[in-house]
Amino acid sequence: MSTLSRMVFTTALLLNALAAASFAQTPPKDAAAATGAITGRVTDDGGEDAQPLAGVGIMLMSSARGFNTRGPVARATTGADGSYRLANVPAGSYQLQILAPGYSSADALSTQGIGAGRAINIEAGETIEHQDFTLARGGVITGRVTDADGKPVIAEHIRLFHTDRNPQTGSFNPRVVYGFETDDRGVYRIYGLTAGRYLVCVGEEGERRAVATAFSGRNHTRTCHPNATEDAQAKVVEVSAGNEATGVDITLAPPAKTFEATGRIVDAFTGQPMANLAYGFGVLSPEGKHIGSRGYSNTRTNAAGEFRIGNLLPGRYVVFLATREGDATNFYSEPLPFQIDEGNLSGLIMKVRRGAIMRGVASVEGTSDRAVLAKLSQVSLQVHVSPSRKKADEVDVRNSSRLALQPDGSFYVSGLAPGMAQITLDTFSTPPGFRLLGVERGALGQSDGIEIGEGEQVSNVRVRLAYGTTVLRGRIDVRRDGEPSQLPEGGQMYVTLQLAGGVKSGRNDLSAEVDVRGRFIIEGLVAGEYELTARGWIRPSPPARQGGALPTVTQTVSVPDKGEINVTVVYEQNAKPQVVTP
Amino acid sequence: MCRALLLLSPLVLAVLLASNSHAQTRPGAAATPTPAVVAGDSRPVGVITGRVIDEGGQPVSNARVSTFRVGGAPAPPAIAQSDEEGKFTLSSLTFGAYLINAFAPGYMLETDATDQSAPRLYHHVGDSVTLRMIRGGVITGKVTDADGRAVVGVFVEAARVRYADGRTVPEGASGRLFQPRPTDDRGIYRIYGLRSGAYIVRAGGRNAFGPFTPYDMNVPTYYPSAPREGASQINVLAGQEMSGIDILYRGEAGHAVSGTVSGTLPANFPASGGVVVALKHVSAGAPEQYFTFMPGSTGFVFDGIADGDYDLLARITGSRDGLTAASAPRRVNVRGKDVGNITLTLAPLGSVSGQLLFDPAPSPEDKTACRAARAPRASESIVGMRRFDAGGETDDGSAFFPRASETAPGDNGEFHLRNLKAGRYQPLVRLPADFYVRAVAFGNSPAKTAPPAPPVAPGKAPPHVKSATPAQTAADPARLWFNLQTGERLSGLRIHVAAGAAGLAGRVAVATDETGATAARIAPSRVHLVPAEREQADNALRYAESHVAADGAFAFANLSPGRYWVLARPAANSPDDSARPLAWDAETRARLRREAETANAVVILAPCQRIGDFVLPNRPK
Repeated sequence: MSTLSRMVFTTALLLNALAAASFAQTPPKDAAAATGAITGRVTDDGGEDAQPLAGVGIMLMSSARGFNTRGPVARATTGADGSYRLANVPAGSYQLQILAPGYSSADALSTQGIGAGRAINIEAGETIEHQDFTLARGGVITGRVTDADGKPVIAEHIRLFHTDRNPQTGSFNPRVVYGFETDDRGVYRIYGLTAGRYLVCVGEEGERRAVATAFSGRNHTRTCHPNATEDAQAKVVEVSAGNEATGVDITLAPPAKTFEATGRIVDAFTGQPMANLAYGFGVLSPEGKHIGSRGYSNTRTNAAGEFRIGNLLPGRYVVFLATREGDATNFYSEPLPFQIDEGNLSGLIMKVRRGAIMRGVASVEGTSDRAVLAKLSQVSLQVHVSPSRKKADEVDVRNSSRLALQPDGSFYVSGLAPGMAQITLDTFSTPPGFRLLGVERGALGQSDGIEIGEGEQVSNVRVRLAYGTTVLRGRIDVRRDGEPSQLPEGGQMYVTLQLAGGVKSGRNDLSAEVDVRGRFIIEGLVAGEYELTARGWIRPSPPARQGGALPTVTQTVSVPDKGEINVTVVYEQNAKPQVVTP
Repeated sequence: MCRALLLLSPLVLAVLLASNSHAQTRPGAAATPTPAVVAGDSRPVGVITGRVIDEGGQPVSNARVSTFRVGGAPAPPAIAQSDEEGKFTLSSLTFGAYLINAFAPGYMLETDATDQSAPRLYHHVGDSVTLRMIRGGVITGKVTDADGRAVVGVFVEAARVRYADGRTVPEGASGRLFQPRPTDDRGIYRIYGLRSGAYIVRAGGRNAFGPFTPYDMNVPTYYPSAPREGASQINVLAGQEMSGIDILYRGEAGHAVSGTVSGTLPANFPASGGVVVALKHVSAGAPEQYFTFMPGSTGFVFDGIADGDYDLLARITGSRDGLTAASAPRRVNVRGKDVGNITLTLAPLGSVSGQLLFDPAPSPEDKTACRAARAPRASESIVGMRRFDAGGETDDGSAFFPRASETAPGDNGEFHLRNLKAGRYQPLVRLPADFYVRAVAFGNSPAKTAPPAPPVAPGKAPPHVKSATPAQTAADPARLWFNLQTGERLSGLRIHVAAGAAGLAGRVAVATDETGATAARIAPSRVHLVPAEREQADNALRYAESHVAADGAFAFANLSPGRYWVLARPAANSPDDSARPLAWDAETRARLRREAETANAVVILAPCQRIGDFVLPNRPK
């Protein structure tokens, strides 16, 4: 029955829970020929008197694509002397993670199994020593959440914000796994916190709040300890290592009044009601052109074509058709903006039109390897259509559809709006090695995309893929004014590779984090000229350390069609930091 | 009257006219113009209203109330929020059978929908429902290690092993496992929202749906400080707190059980996931562990497994094309080392499709016939399958399947039940009070390519037929069951329903012995209805049995009119509702009939008659 109230939700409201869920795996253990080992020691932050910490979990996660959906490659627990040994480690790129729920890491690494780990690459048969960690007893914040009537607020998520960060963004909300949810008495107890000054809040603000309210029916405005709906009135809670801040209670204001919007989805030509269509809604951005946070319910229109969105706070929204994968329908919608003032809204009419259909085939060039071709159906392609005749007031819904490939590479997608269709490769969820070389319609290259007319049947689309096996092994040579040097404390780097002349949109880029020893590995490359970009930043560790950008350097790399290539990137720290553009 | 008119939609009227020349329309209704109907059973026709209250009868506001329509064409849930007075209206509902759920943080519905042997409460358009929500129970305590130090961030999980009345909670039943909660920095955990019953509590081991912890590789420690075999049960009452459930954590390293899945897998596996593996200790009552395949992975591994014997089973959890498959349970013995390379081969699951067929309504000239208060609607009935394993005994539940599977037919009476493993099944039909099952005919030729029941199309054959038994499937009145092979798709199950059902309720009298003193009532016992008419002696549908409540009350509904003997008996074997009915085979039917004839408590049920105060004499032997 839980599926009844299940809604898919694109805001970060359930960030903690989602992050936790994504780690719900332990993989099969691969036997590798020549395996290596990683050893180290975990101690507390006592300086010269540092004591060993026993029972700390150490986990090695693969950095390969989608690494966080696979389980650890190796695991260990520290012994009485704080030491650990990860054995039978195959060569590869990894994240070293520590699991010590009551502690916080001096290096701002996650101690609760989510978030940042330490990047580390290991060669076949290599033993890497001295991978040590220093942990401090985490701080505790505890209190009780009650509503305006004094009743406990149950199963509510507490959100923490470092006050030396912009509290609006939430991006420095420490990722905590434990104790952030109130129990049946309204009590919460968050532990393992890094020392610092925090705002302790429940609820969401702005767009997120609007969607969260419609989603859950819990519509209290963001309220911070003790009862502040404005950040200026919020009381900052200070936590030091191993200390406990108690009585951090939050009293909620009475819930705001909410309203509902109802209407019908009809065929734009016949006016007939459209039954059993899935729809989504979103909050309109202030200028009214884009959707900020959006929500999808699993509800569909009834036989009279009616839709209903409840629990809406006053504001501007948009409702749109949300075709699900596997739906047999072939429609697209004109997104319908609407405004909720102080009342329910009824009689909305959303028009849908018959969509275009695209058929084609994807092929892997330069290989007849059956093992490679057998992976075709795992290649993840997306198609996104930008309206070509966009009306001035039209909202860009930005719906992408997945192109599901059959084992023979053929694909079929329906419900496309007219406009310019871009096909992209999602390298994150595609097996390593596949690259998108180009898209053709008939014999014509379509670098700008494929023009699709209203309800058109596009049938001869070719997606040209390549499959690469070359491995690039890189090393960062950090310099300052030309002299060998090191990154500042908290410094981290990653590199990206872009095939010159390749399809640049989408997630076609290849990237790797530079490990603790200044190394990186990128696998599955096809031959060609690449632009390699090395970027650096300082991981913030408030309040002691501020984050910030480090310089960016680029160089060209020529990749052969097989084997390995070694690259050294000279990283001059005194180069002018560049603004990193996403 | 108003409600009957509402339910008698123009489409049904048209159907009645077309299929039965004797059928008469209600005055005025025939004049209603027939609109261009899109689909027969998917037009919104009404509402279900109700109220959400708490234990003390006080309104619960802001509860989220939702519907789940069983069977028929896919229907979106209706969702409502209770107001200040606890009231709600679920609107735009189509005809059908609905389950209603309510959610409010910290509360749960008093009715335990997860108890699979309790009948599910279905609601229909026009109903008014009172939903009582109660606070669950709490288990709380501290987890410490051998040195007395708090164990921080270890997940503690409670598994309900017995219902409040002492029955065992079957493996795989929802409502058996509760969300694991981590200990805090002091080692304290608190699990709330527990239904009444007996629980075992464990700490540590891998929690498949939670984050990684330092305790994943440990063998779980059961309260108070034991492996599974030494677990103590904790009795919990809803609304009460069981504190001091402290666990001395053992932190022993376990072994790994790993392998892969093969056979009938979802399209695009492993890219799409959609398979789950369950591991269960063979001793009854041990909480099962699950492994969910994430996209891209083909292998499974369970860590922290203690020495012992386990059953492993894989099944498809979600597949867009509706594919259902499961592996046979695989026994694994862990003895001091890891167990690997286990292959679980999934085989398709079976399905049964058929039709619920309503006999023609009696002629209005027939003054002896009673008439149903409302027109029959197939979509408001429930068709279920009760499984008994091949040996004829009760389902052992070891395969992590729900015990019963049920659905509501579409408006044309067609139904389709899937996810059925091989075995012997008995159809169970729940009908409006005025109707009873007159005959069941089993499809004899399994159609391997039988498609799922299609959505209701306009102009589809109505559920009313003139001839009772089609030629191709013969009804065997002596048989209540059929066999389903692995992956078999059985079609053509025809269930004939007639109007004029009778009902019988009453109680078993308190017995007195020769001296006139009150003797103990036979308890727990059952009351059987046995056909007294000789020609019905082998009609299994004429046999019925009812639980007898603590106060001696029993009730039968949806009975064929006729002459019956009423017989009170001790329960055959276990009080478990899944026990096979006594009227299962000819031999026991004959024995029942002999006993009933001797006892000779006769009741004659006329069409539509409801007897509510029948007193059955109790004559202990």
